[in-house]
Amino acid sequence: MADQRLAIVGIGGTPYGNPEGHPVTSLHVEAAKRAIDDSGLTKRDIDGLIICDHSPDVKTAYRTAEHMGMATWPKQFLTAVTNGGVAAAMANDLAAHALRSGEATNVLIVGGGSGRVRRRAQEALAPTTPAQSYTERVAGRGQETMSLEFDVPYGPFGVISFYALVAQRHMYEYGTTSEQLAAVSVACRKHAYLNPRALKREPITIDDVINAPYICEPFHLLDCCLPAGGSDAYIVTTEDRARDLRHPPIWMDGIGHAHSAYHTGLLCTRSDYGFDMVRQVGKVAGERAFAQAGIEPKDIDLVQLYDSFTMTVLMQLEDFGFAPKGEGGPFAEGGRLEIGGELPLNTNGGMLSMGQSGVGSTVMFMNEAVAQLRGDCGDLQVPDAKHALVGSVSGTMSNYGATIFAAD
Amino acid sequence: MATESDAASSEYRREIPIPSPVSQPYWDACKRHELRAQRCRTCNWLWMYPSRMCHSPDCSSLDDYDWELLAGTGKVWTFTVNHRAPNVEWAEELPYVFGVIELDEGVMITSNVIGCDPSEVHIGMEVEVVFEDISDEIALPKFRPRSA
Repeated sequence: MADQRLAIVGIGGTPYGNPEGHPVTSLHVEAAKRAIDDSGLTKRDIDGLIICDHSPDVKTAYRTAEHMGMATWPKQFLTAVTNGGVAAAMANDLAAHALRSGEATNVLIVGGGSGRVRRRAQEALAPTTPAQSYTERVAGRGQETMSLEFDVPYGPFGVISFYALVAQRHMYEYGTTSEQLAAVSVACRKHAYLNPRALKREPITIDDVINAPYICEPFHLLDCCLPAGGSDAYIVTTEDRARDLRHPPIWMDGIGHAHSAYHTGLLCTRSDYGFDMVRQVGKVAGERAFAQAGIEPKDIDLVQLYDSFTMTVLMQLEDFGFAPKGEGGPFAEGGRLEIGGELPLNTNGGMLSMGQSGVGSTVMFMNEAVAQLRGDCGDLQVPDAKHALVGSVSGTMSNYGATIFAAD
Repeated sequence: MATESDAASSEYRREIPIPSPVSQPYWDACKRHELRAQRCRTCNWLWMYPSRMCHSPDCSSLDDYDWELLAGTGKVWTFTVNHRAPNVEWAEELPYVFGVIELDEGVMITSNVIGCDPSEVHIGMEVEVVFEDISDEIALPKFRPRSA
């Protein structure tokens, strides 16, 4: 059992947008239902549950199990991961341990967001709320303020300001251009055009991106992802069970993680391993995942990369080894990231165009990779796709996950 | 070190740091318009932001540091010009510069670059610290173009 191959055997998700204003737990239940039905398993077969959530609160996992009617029998494995954009990647690691130890046989991983972030973001465009001391609000929730003492009093506009720091430095060191960043957004939108589930579908051009208003320089509006309510779910099991289910198994053959710093000043400081804000530890995560899977970047047919911002994608292309360090910008040009190009990116539109359901997007990307490797993507299918990499990022390029999938 | 201060205002309505026991000496120094960082007494490592254990990968000294006075000069390592603000108080300031300064001693600090038009700010720009007294207890270290 310890060396068993792992597979995703069921995937499902809610529509994006959450117009009814469901709390996230209700969205989780819907996504879970679709994943269970897709797999051919029954609800009672699920004995492990991991919720990917931004809330620092494992109670979302307990409540989701209750809302699914799973309260009455013992789950052998139940927890929440709150690692932001690497949540599902971390959940895969936990699921792997639970499945290979025999602690669980079928692990359901669910992630999503209610879309409240979207309302906050819209509010921030025309802010009406007083500052009220962010550090006080955090302290009021009983959390430590610590590093926030040294960032928040300087007025960052959420995480956008922090990722803008990455982009500015990357442009300075490597000559990356706004047009190259825009190519990422254009590729995602081109794919969203054919995806009915995507929130933004009207085609855009490089000029549309670079002529949109600045949010935090060098990011324009369309360099930033689109917060939305929604939830996604998948089921992981081991090879012996996976072969008997409804769909051909999609193998999870490589799982790599790496973590560096959280505070901006420490992220910028060159470590004695040679890492800093624009040369990040994704290199380590990628190398681990590729070594486990026994393949190389050139074998990958498509990538699903956490596209919180266009820059986040360029960093992953470099750090995971698809482009040499500093050459993510030129790599993104010429349609290389579009279906039909050398390395199709975010084939459902990604968070830039389909929408970002908070931490749930980390689940959404796993599902899109699985759908592609099953060959189920219709007009958006990458021909003959056998290997996919899902890249996950949180903090400010602080934490990386690399997950490699293979089809038979 | 520049020690220009605005009049302390009880009406400051942006985010105010809440010191912890470990950061209190840092903020106490700022109140005196001194920028200080911790230097390990065992291995001489210098680090920001305030924390109890030495940041050297090879040293685990705990609570064993001096608060070293820094020159307060450095260069912009990276920055962004914010065109959106987190709240109404910051909206009055738009556009403004949020960035990271590499201090001459080699440590990095997150701050604002003030005292010039945001369009003049660039990576490598020489800057010096200036303290903004925002309450009776707290002065925020910010940075402005270095005077000749």
